[in-house]
Amino acid sequence: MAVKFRIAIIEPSQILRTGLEASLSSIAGKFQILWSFSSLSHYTSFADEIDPDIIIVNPSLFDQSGAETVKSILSNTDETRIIAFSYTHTSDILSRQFDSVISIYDTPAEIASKIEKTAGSEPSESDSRYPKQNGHPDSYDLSDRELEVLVSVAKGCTNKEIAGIHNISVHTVISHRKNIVRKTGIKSVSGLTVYALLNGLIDQ
Amino acid sequence: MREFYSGNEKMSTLVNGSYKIIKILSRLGIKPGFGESSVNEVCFTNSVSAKIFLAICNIADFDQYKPEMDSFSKSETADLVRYLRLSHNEFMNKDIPSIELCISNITSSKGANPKHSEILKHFFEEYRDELESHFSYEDKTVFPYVTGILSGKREAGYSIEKFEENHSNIEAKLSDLKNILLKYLPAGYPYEVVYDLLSRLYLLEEEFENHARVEDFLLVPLVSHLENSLKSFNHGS
Repeated sequence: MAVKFRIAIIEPSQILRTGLEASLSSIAGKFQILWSFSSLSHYTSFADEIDPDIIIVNPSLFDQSGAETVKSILSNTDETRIIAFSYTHTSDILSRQFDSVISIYDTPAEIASKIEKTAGSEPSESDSRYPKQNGHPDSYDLSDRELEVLVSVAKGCTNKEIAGIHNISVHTVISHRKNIVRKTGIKSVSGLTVYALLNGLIDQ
Repeated sequence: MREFYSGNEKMSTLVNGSYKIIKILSRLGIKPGFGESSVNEVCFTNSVSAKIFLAICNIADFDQYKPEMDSFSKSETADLVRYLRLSHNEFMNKDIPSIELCISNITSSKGANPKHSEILKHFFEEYRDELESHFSYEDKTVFPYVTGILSGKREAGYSIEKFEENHSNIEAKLSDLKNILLKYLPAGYPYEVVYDLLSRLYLLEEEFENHARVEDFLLVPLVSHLENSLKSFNHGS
């Protein structure tokens, strides 16, 4: 059985959203449209519970200056590919942040082949072993809040306990933890503890 | 795209194309000096099932490879179990100790901070214990179950599906250690040893991934095929 790509769509226009869903579903067996959102905030409220392979998103939902990176807003994992679904002009600085761009004038077959190609490719800037080509090189450093959460994780606190200590929601704790894993490349709690100890964030 | 490996290819060509095969040859006890012999011939001379050897190589190098379940005999499945046991033995008695030796060279080096050394050693010991229990579950529960099936006895209350469901990932912490050394090891450690250790970690991670794929995509379907044929045989009699 072929692997199906799990897709999330973020598109404010209901007509276009339904059109894209219908076009992709007509290509039997390749795509599963599992989630559809009308806005970024609608998407981010679910971001922790879903793990799409591909996010298709309207680039006009983002700041055209590219000040905030698309990946940081969508806060998904490195494996997720992000494709722009564009029908107005998109600034170069913004379109570079996507793994691929599809247009409303593409045929369903063209869109399908672009999605497949993107899904099989390396993510545009995932590899933290290399300095980023654009953007801010220091953005892989942990923020103060992330450091605080990391210390609590290393001490063995649960998400609920961490939320209580820092007076934030469990949802926020999870989102910080995702970012910590993404930035450090360290997944296990014991690995994160080693990180915290080596960096003198906790002692023993 | 390249075609899957076949028994008529020269063994030397196969190895030249993919160094991962060296480890597979070594574990199966196949001796070098292949000359112009084909894979089938070399395997026959070394009393190893060519079908199992090729299936393991194909799984290692081709993501799309799907073995044909009907074509494996019971003795070939037994060969596969032997290969997996030998792999476990190699991981625990060769690869892990050599990594431990690297770590102890690093932690006992002149510039080492004793507190950091303790942390690294502790992390790896914990990981080694985890591996130990992962492999010993397979050696003591899963493989004997498979051997039972091969001799026509099916142990009640267990199935290969259970193994598949609980088959845990053993590479995650290895990858964590890689990133810790690569990104966050403080200065002052002997870098040649650190790089040597890193290469070993990368290779072992690749071996672990392959090993899990052989278990998930060869052992599990083979055994569940045997389970089904055993069921229909019992019903029929």
